[in-house]
Amino acid sequence: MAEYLFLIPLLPLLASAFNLLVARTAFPDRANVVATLAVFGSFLLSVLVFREIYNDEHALHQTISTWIESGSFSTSIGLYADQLTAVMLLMVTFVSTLVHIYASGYMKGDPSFYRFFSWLPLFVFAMLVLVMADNYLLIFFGWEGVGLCSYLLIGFYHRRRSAGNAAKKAFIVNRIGDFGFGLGIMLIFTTFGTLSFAGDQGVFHQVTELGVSERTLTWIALLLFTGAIGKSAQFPLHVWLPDAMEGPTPVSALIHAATMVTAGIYLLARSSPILREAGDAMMVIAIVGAFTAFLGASIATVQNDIKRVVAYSTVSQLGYMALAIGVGAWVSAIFHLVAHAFFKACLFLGSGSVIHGMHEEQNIQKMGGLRKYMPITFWTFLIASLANAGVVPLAGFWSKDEIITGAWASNYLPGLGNYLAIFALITALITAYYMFRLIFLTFFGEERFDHHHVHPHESPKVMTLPLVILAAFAIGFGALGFPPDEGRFHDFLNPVFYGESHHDEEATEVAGVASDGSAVLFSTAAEEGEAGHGIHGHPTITDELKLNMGIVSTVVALSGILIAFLIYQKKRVDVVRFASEHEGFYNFLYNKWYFDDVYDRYIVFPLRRLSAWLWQKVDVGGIDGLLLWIVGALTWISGQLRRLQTGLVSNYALAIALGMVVLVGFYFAAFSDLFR
Amino acid sequence: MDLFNLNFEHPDWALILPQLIVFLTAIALVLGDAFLPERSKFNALTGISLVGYGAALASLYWQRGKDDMTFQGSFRADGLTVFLSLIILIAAILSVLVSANYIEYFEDRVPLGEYYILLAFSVVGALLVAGAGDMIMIFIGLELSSLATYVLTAYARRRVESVEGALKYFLLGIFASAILLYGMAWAYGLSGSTDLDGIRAGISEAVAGSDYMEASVLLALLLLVVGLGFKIAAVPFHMWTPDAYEGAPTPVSAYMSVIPKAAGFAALIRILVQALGPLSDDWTWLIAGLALITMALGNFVALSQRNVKRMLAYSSIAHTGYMMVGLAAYQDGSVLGSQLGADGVTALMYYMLAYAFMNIGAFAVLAWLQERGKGVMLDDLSGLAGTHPLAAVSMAVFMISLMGIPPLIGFYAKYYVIVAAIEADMLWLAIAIVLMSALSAYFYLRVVFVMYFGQAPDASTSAPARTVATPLLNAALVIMVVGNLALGLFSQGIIDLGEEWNTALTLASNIPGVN
Repeated sequence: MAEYLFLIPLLPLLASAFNLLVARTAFPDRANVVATLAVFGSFLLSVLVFREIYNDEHALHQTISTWIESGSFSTSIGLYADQLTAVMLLMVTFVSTLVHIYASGYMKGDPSFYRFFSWLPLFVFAMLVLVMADNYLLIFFGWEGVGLCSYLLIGFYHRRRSAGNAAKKAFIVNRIGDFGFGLGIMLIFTTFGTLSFAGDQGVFHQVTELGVSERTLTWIALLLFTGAIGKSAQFPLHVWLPDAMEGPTPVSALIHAATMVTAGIYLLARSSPILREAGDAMMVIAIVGAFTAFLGASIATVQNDIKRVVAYSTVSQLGYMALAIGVGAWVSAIFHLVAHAFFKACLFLGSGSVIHGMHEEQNIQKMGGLRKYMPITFWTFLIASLANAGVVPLAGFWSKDEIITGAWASNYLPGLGNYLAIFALITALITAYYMFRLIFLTFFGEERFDHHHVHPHESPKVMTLPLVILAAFAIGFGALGFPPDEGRFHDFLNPVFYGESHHDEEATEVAGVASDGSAVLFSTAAEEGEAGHGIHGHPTITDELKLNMGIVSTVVALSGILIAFLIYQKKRVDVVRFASEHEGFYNFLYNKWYFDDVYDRYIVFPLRRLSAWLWQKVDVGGIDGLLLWIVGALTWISGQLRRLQTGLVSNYALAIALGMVVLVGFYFAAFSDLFR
Repeated sequence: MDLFNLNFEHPDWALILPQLIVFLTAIALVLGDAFLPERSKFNALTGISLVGYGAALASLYWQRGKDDMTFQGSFRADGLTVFLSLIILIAAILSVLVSANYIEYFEDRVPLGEYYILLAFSVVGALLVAGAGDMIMIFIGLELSSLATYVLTAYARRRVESVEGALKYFLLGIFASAILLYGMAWAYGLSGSTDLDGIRAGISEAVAGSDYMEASVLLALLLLVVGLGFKIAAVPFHMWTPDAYEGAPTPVSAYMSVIPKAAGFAALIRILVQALGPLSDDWTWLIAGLALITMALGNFVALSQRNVKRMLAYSSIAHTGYMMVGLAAYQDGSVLGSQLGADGVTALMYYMLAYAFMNIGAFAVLAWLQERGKGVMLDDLSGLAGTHPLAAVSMAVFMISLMGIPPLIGFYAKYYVIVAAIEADMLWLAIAIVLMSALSAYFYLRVVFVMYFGQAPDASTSAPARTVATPLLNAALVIMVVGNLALGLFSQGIIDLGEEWNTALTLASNIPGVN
């Protein structure tokens, strides 16, 4: 299978090129067929790859060609697939296929139909390169590729000014993170002399076998995390993601919920051997992640645009994933990533279905009672919301529960883990509340839309089928993660993060102390704890802790739902009056903690002033002025020299004679023995 | 060489095969012009010229790797001869292609046969210089080449500028020849030999063991450099260049911007490197200084020219400066010490080859336009991209190549020269080339700018376009555009061929008493 790895990203790339070059003029309304088939083909190949890795338990590696060779620097284009890649491949190609199918219905009739189905497979190509790359530079290629496609697709409705602005914002904000990632890649190269992470000479092997100073590794980890902050919308660069909802809804579902935004998490998980040795960086990641989760959830509580609520929910969930990375719960982070991809894609596609049925209305205050008009959308949306809120036994429950347990068990600083866990639990409460605020406002209660103009209807089958499939996965996927930390998902992924050999030796070693299987997860941690680093010093997570956490988080989630029920269904609290009584607080949340305003005033505005100054004073006045002065001077010199050419042949002969005399005189004086 | 003890060995004709072929071509042209009917002259004489130069070019293949002399040492066949002949013959073929239609239709239908005959004898002269092993041979070759060129310059005899330019060229030319001959006399007096290797041996004795040189040696050196500096149009011996280039028929300008210059450089290399190599510490500084003022003056004055032919004349002076840098970077005794690029002499020869493709190309486009009723002023090129897109593209390629932008051949030419200068510890000269190239961008790109952004003249007011077919000129343009684009990419092979020039020094070192 290894020799066919290249086909997986190649198929969508070919589809994209085909649609751009051929379908554009030949059959623009059927461009979706090629794109969907290509992505589905990639999915089938991914299944084969997954099966081979699942059976043989070894990584696949294909080197396609040498990319750059310059002095001691050498990088190849190589594809690498281990268990982590296999999981990402399945998720990406599966969700992509569904979104392509959905978009075939959603985008129908759009004048730029072919353009949409040129960029979307191009995005899939870049994303697949990102997850399959065998070195950091190729990851960066995919990373920038998905960023470009994101830009193109957010700005898809390019005639709308806000879409153009949102696209630019997403791109520019991401540049900040990319800059950090770029620096990180350079630091990796200067430290290890290679950018490839797989193999005997690879970065990871060097980290584990040779030992590198913790200080350097911490810097690398922080720089990589800077990249993730941009791409995975963590505080303080989260501001681009909600605006990215200007793009078509399938794009929001695929790029800004399921795949691209999780690239940062993937990068961190992929770099786990580096991160594990960088305790301080891990603590920073955990804290930033927990704060981002809370930030996103708090803003989501008061937004009225259905897609924005889901978008802020995405920010919040990405925060959970970063928290999981930060506390060393690697598998849980990936588990949540995949589970989130299913239910959040379902939520976005569901909102798309609602918007579609409501004639492009996005304000939930103008909806209500839609349950009876669009039953399939309602049920799938409800299931996905329950999963997002973390209700037993849906996918979101198991993954989120593991993260909170992992946070509780971590102790970078005394007590910090407990605070992180409690913070995450509060966030979980808010999550349940805003998800069900959305449900009650949209699907229940009185119908607040104008019956004369709006006639809600269920979406066509091509759109509801993906919803049903995704909802089914939102329910069933959790089963792979049961029992917590020991499910089949964990068995499959553990070798990536703990290594084959480590797995066997340390498991038995620690098992004697811990007498339960959870030692597998934290075996390395135990070692570190003894060494004094205390990365997540709790040697064990007991079954009792897991049970208690499960109960607590279930109670928390149900309470959130209950609060939403009381407020929005039973009207026990007058929301409008409450908001006006606490106007300052409400506005603070409604205006997204004033992040955009602060950035505008203290970063964007001074920068614009600076560029205006550079342009008008430095460039036009200084540089151009100097240049014109030089041109003037040169022209003057040229004019003077030109007068030497008198046109008189006697003058010409004189020049030759004079030249000869000067040369002879000079050389005789300087070099000959004539005057010695 | 003892003149009274000549041994009458048979000359080795095989060694002078290319020169012989071109000479026979010239004879054939004379006979053809005299006896062929008027109708078929154009085709026949053009054909004879092309076949002759082509055959000579092909015969170089068998000359490669030879390292021998004949005619009592006055003629040598070595790597230097091969490469210089290569440049001269390629330039000759391109010149014929550029000239053919122009001479047939323009400048009052001047006699075509004589044109080709003069061209052929000029080429013979240049080839003799390339293979000269003796001062006398160098002088004869140069004079043969120059005399033919004087006449060619005056070829548009009814146009006063043509005659004026030719006369200036001729008067100053004999002045310079006298100086050159005087220098040769001094060199002979010093060493007792006109043979290049003999001079080298004699000079070596003269300079050995002294910190300062005998004034006579220095005088010989300076007179030779001044005399040859005229031929290559180095400042301040360049004054004839703009007037002659501007006055001459455009194909002649193309021709004489390359072949007499190549002959001059061939003589410089033969004399300075082969004969006066031991003095290189002194003359490299002389050449370097002349190179600097040559490139500076050429570029500066080119800035304010609005006549494209005259601009190209000054640009040709500037390029002489760049080429001289290659010679200035010569290091005696460490001929093949270069790792990065080429040594100075190889860089110079590569530059000459590149220059033939760029400069003849630029003049060829002007000739092409003149044949379509346009002038050679900058304004005449205005809006050319709209009316004659292919001509505009070719001109843009030549201009950008002259400017030295990769991947065109002009860039590689400059690159090798700059590397050679840096390796010879003449960083200041390398920096000067770069700065001067930046300056030159102004007047080269102005041509491109005018062609692409200028307003095309109103078709009704301008002279009615003449529709002439110029198949040979078109072919030449295609060859040169392709050459500009492609030859740079294969520069390593050309450089390898060029580096065989140093076989010219091996014979000298085999002579007893030398080195």
